[in-house]
Amino acid sequence: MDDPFLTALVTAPGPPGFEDEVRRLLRSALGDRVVEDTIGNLLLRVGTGHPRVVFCAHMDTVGLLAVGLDDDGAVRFRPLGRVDEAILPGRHVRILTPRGLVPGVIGIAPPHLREGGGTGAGWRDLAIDIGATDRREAEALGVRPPLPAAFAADFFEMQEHWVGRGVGDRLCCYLLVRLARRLQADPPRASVTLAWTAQNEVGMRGARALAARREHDVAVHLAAFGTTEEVSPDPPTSYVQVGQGPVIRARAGDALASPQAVAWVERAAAAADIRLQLGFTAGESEATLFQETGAIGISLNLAVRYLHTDVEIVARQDVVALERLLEQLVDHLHQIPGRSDGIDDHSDC
Amino acid sequence: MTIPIADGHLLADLLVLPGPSGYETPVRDFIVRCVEGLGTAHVDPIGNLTVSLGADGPHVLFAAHMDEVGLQVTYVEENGLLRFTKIGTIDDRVILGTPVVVHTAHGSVHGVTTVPPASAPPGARTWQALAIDIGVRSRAAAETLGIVPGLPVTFRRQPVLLNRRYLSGWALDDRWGCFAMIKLLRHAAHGIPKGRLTFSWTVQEEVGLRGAQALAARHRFDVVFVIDGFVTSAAPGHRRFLAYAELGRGPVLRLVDHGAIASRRLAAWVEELAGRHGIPVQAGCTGGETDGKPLQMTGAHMLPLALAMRYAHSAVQMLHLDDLEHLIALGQAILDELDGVPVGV
Repeated sequence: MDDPFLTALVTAPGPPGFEDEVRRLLRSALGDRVVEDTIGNLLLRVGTGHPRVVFCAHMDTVGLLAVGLDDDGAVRFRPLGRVDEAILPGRHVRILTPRGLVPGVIGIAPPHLREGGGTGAGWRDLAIDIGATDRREAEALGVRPPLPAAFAADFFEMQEHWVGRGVGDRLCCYLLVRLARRLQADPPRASVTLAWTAQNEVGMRGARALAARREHDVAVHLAAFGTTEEVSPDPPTSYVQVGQGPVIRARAGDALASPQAVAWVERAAAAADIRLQLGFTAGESEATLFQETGAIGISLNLAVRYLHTDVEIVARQDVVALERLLEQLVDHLHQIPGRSDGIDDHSDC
Repeated sequence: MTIPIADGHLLADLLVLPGPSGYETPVRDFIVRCVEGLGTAHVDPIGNLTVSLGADGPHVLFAAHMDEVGLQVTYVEENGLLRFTKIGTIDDRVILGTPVVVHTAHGSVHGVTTVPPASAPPGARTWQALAIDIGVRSRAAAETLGIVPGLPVTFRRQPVLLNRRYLSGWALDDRWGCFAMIKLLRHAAHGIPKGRLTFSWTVQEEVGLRGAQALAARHRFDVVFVIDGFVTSAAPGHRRFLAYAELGRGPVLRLVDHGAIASRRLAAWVEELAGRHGIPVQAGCTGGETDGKPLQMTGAHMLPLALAMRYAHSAVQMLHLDDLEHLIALGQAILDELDGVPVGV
């Protein structure tokens, strides 16, 4: 999996609603049969028949929205998605302008200029410094807010782990690309939609628009699962660990994974000797949106330490196991409990 | 990356070399190669590199420090997490959630600093509560990678160019100074030195000016120019009660800081010289201190030739390349006119 495409995909900027670069990379990898819908999801349909199954993963990562310029050329911003503001100081960012990426930095007053230690700096106290001395110079660089901004991406390997900004979700996008190639080479006797969704981090809006079309009986959502493990001083609410296997998101807030889908996934995992973990989280799941249309749904996740930072950590063995699990699932699309070939009890509602 | 100034590749190389205080060897080795044959080179026991040339006239020292702030492994937990302490002064907020490299006897080990959840109680995000995660789950696995207490740790350092002329990156303090000194030594070695010159690339500045102290204990200087940063408050969101120097308006004569008051005679001489050469300079007062503090105690006239820098001791510290070029030009003009430098009372 040491693939230049993977590096490009992980490091591509893609704040919610501004996933253009990710779409461009996916299109280049997937060819002409990919279609884009109005909200920005990329869709690839393979095979015909029933059940009608969607596999989805989201393209966007949390970022910033440049909202205005100060007289001294500083760029004021607000978060786009759930950004932990404590990690903003000292970060490199890229502002997405019509003329390309403009680099900037978020700095704080250094220890030399303070009495005692620093206290929290929230996003309202901070600005992006793009090296402009005034408003005019900032505009000359193409920075005319409102404009989205992405955190600069590191992507590197660390003891059989991958580390980088948004690496969990982008690896899910990558696994869908590999799944697409496999399905295109050997089309299934079922309708499979592969969906790279937009605007997940601001309320799963891409997936919401897709689910509203009610085209699917089964939804399998791929995403990152934030773990805290032993870095948290609190007792854990989730015992998921990086490196211990793909995660079934048993609970996403109040929503339950569909029992039929859990049974299907557990059987497929057992057949391939893949160890799974069960995860319980307050975080959301795109599968829930499809469940709300009457489909059965499940979210399969990669365990990630330090979710929504520049240093998300994913274990290589979890990625390999999730890919094997997905291959098992597409080979056994007709074994979804409660579903039989050709029987589709609510496709016309 | 390409830094658009003369010999910018040397600066680019210096910025990616690791060198926390006490562990400056990669930086020193690089500089030794750059200055080979330009004078008499010597490395003292603490690790300062000095290059001397010229025999007559006042003994003039130019000094810049090679070290940077970083971290140091203090303990390897049973679960494979590394506890650490700081090398130098670093704000806790810029330590959180950043890529780091642990430098072992066998090579580099990548890691990241931990990010306790946002819901964690106050205090959970101070440096004492953080750790370095190198992706192993046991002490034994960490030890297999060569991890032991005491190893130095450096931060992500890839620099970036902003608006064509602003440079931002972790190790700028004081690698730009090391770079300027290489340029100045080359200039001095080209002509006939107008004084007895010593160029010193010092160690352990960030942990109490220790390299400069050792240097000061062994030598006497008539004049000392320290090439180092000037922490400026001229940055978005900073309170401007101290340290007001704009980026891009010329090198800063650092007249007063927490460690030393510069020689007014030397500052006046430099200011007059800069004016004659059409080199813009600013004068300012700031926090922190420089190698000039102990070196002034040798009886020298001391002046830090500084650059306005934003966001010191973080991954985004920042300077203006015009200032750097002007500072090098100023240093070269000083070297050319050293026969007139003020000495004694």
